[in-house]
Amino acid sequence: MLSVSVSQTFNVSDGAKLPLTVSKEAVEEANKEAVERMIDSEPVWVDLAPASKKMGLRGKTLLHAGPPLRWKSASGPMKGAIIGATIYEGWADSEKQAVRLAEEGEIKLDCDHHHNAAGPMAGVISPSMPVYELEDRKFGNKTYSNMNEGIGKVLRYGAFSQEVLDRLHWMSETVAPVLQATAKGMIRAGAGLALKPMIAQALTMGDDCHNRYVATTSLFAKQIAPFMVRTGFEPKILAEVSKFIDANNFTMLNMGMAAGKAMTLAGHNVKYSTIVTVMSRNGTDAGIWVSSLGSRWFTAEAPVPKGLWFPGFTESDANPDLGDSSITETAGFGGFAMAAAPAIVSWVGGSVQGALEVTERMYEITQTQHKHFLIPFLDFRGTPVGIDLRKILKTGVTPMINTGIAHRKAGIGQVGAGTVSFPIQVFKDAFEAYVDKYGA
Amino acid sequence: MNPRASNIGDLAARILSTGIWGEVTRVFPRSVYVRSEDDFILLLWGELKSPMTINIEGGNNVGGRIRVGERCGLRRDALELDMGEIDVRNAEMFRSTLLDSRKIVLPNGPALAKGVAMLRSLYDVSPSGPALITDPALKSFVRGTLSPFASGRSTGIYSPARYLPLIGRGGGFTPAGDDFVCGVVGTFNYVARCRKFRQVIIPPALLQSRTIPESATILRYSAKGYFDEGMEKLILGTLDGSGRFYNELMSVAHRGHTSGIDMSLGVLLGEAAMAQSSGEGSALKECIDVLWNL
Repeated sequence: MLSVSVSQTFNVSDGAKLPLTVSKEAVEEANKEAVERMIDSEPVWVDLAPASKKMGLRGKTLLHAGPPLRWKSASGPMKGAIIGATIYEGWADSEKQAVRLAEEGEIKLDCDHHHNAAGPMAGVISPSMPVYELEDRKFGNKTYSNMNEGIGKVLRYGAFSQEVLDRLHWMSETVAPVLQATAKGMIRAGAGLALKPMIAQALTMGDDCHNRYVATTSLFAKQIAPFMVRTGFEPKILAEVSKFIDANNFTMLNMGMAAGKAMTLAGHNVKYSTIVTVMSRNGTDAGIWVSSLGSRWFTAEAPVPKGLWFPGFTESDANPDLGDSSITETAGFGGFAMAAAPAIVSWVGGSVQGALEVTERMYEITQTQHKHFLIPFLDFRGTPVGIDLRKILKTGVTPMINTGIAHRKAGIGQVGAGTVSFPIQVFKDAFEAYVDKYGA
Repeated sequence: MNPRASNIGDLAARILSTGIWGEVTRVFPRSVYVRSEDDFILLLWGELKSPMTINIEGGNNVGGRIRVGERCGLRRDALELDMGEIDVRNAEMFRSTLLDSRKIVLPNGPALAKGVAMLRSLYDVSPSGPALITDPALKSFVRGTLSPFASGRSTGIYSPARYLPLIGRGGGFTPAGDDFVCGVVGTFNYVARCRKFRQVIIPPALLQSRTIPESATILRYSAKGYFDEGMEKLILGTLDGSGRFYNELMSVAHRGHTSGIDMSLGVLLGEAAMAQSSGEGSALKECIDVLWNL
């Protein structure tokens, strides 16, 4: 258990009160506990079912990535995803009608993170969308993410054409039942799919587990195959589902994010801890949570990523950064493990040396090295894990995120991939709030 | 095409325009020190503006070609070095704003103590640990010089000898003790100019033998009100009456080894001593409690 030494509150002559002043040892102990819990978390995939059933989503509620957001301040891709999900749910049958519902406040928006979920890019989760459910076998938390559609013209990047909606329905009606039955079969056999060892292995196979999930998706396909073939579905259906998984190297992104959410959730709410437990963006703002400061968001304007562009697009097309996927960096992989994934520079830009330097820099702002996530090229050194607010402000180094890039207009989709630094202002504001609450 | 300067500090322009050639004394990957008689200026491949700095666009030290010992001078449209010229035609002048007096309000004890609490926390995660704040020389200075001044019992704050034990003390290119004294004396003298009371003077000759020449020069000019833009914003932020200077404080905290936090601590403790000496609460005592009386 955490034990701390804390001085008494003291009054000053003008009646103002200074906060409790917490000792260095107490902060270190709290941070150690928070990060150990993150590292010890054991997320296992247990189910895939509609968000209404697993997360209790009711009425016209849509969850989204990042800090809280209103329709009128939402970016193009976020609005596109909200429009698409509204039509997908049958609440509207046209873009115009969906926009009207959103403008009139008929659509209730809430953050994925408020529901222990994490969704990539717009991160929109609607009640009937299937969500992966992960259970932390160590700490008991349940976390969620939606299914990955692929790249390009997809809902999470703000596209909502009929093709996009048809794919979502097919995923819900065809893919989800097969994967749900597979998950249940694995659980029955006592072989639930454990995400931590899978991520650990994928990092040694060239994935960063944020923007490169090639190895992870292959491992997933390999592990579920014996159980999927015994689900009783027709071979034709199984072949379609297998083909869908095979065709999309980002199949495992969402489950990886739910795993990251489980890990960081385990380290959340540790008193006196200065460890960051959520970093996320909604396309308008970027925001963080800090372990000891509960679910209070600290936000600043979301930056625009730098990267490589799909043919025909340039930086001027890019929307400010969005997505809950930076939960991977928060949990000690993703951009923090770029040194494990040299091939990723062909997707996000930069050089192999640059990728190595990103990981090296992240050690300066983190509490420790991961026990399980190892980087072969660094002599199997653990990835940097446990972002410490104080270290960011002392070094001026901000967390580096691998990210996809959405077009700034609704309805277009993904236009590139790259990297982005989280804005330092959120860490400044959080640190001030921390000192107000605990001293320092 | 010649490299270009984006900014020139007013002091750097003056020092390098005397017609006397300066000489490069130290070369780092992104900065070069140039001595001109008793002064130093800094060529910086970075954005931080200061009165003593010339900011140069591009990656680094002109491909690493600048060498120790080469000559340097400002001649009309160019900064001339043996290796070539740096175009200064479109460079903007950075002018110091702490040379003039203005209406100021000293912050209260809780506001200052909160700032000190932030700095103390950042010392905890410095690679060298909380070196300066555990140094007996600092405790001795605060308890033996600042506290008596704050209580109206001593004018020892004007004695140069009181500062000397801190000069050259601690780690970093500019020693931590120097940075702290920069903060204390620079802020003290700025408030003194604004409120028209006596300023602290530390004769340059006393500094020379105790620290590196670059740091002695920085100390000398900070006492007169020459600070970089980040420190200027911090000092002005602490004195604007809002009590809200934490953003500025955290913007300088990452500087150097611990230079940013050492200098900021000097600013806050110097102001705390002045606030308490003005009869407004017990600001310095509150700061000391946060620093050492846990």
